[in-house]
Amino acid sequence: MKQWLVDVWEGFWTVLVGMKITWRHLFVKKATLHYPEERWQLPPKSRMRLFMKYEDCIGCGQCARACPVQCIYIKAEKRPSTAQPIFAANGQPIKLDVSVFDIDMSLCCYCNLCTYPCPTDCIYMTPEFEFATTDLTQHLYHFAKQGATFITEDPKKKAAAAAAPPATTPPTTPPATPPATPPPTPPATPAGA
Amino acid sequence: MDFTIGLLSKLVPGLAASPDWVLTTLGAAVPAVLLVTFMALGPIVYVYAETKIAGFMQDRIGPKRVGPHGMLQTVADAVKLLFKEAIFPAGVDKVLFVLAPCIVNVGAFLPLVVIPFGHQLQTVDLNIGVFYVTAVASLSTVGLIMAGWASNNKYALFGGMRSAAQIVSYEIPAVMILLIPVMIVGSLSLQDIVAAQAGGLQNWLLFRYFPLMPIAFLIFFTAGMAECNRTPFDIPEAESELVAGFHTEYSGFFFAMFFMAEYTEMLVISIVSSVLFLGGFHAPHPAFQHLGALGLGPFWLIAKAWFLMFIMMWLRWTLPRLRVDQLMYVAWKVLLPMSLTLMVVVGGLVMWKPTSSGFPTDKYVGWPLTAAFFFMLFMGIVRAVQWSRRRPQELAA
Repeated sequence: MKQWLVDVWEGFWTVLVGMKITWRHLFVKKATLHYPEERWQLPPKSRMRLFMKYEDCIGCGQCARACPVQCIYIKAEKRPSTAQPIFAANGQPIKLDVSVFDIDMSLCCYCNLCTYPCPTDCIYMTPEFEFATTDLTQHLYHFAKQGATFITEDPKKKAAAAAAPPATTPPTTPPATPPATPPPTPPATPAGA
Repeated sequence: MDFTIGLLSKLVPGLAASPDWVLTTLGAAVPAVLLVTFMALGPIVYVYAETKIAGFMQDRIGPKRVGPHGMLQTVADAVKLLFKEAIFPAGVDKVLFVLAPCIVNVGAFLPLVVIPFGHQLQTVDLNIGVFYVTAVASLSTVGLIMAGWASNNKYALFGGMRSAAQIVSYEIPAVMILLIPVMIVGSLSLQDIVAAQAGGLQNWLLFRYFPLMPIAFLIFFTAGMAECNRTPFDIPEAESELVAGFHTEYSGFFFAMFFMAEYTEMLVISIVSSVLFLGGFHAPHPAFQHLGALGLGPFWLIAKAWFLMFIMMWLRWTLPRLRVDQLMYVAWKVLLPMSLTLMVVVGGLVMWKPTSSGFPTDKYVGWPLTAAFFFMLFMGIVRAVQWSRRRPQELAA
């Protein structure tokens, strides 16, 4: 009889304890993230869609060789020696004309191995992850541009030239970030001025 | 019914001259249509409330996209279910298969006939109201077994048999507790039972014999929850063991009917509990009974019923499902002896002249008895709380 009373009380009491807990959770801040409206801050090294900066590519093809699933297709041919010399942002001369640079993101395994060998750091992972399409072929991204504007002046020489004259004047800023990108945006100048 | 006929004759001039059968038909049909519409559209609200409460209790937010705050989610679900194909698997007994959800719904809706929503807002004031409610509510058991049998599926059959065993066992304590208000009031009519609780909170049957009637109410509520297969007692449709229990093979509209029946039964159990114990359509204080000229009776009844339904949902998202043997243990070894004892004790107190109308009314016997009961209850609770505080350490040691 006593054990019965104990059991009944325990059943009743534990129900009350459980109800107290759920009642408290009724007013707790909800854990749900309203996804399309709110977004989670992705970690800085997250590996999402690949991007290739065509203006910096020297067409060496190391990324395609590093790729374990062969999802990078490069076609490059030698630049005629008479053409104007062009350079990547870090000063590497571009000696090949890259006519095709395709990445098939439906094959990509997001291993990030292609970004390490790149001598000009022009291929990298972006935090962009919403690229679902209705057709698988739309995952083949073409990065080769037709009318790309390249740097025609050697950035190293330019940096040296920029560093040399200000050496005489005291207020100098070390050109930590040389003009990495070609200035294709004229509206940038009024903003700076 | 007479009230409806009177109202209709007042509203439509010349109706009083029409023959009797027209009046009778109208008097029966108008309240029935109103009631069924109200009750059948209810589950849309309850399912929405349930999903929201479930979400909140699990730190989620529940439906959100369809309509403002997801309010149209259940409407969309209901429309989807109505337009889905009703699949009849090979080997089902088609007649029983179609009949089963109908019978379950009949069992769920029929008790509403005698529910008093107001002094005159009652379809029929049967003089055997309480008896009628229990008799009609058990019709749904037949429907559940039918569904299980007709589905030609072992899980469905298991579910049907389990629901039969469960409902039959839980009906016994429920009916025994039902007898207590009947004994106190001396009438089986729900209207009389409500009338006996008029005049505010202290007259509600819940507080009549103080520590006894709340226990009776708890037992009745538990048994009622088991009768409508809600979660701590939902072994008939235990989705982790039997795919979906008795409605495994149902789809589309028939599945929606089972859903509707479940939520309507919840409402019926809540309404009956509030009629029997919580004063029915009476407000907690007579001052709140009317808002100007507007009677708030139905509002109070629905509010109490919805509060009890909220407790049901709360319990659903708190407790895990019982095993079959635990279920039977609760029914036969806990609820039944307790309800039997309560019935005998309260029956004796009702018979005994000094305490016949509740404890606190009698100066010489009632108050001292109430005080003694209070003291015992207080000591018991103190000791029990102390014991339950100590218990986890004992168990750990």
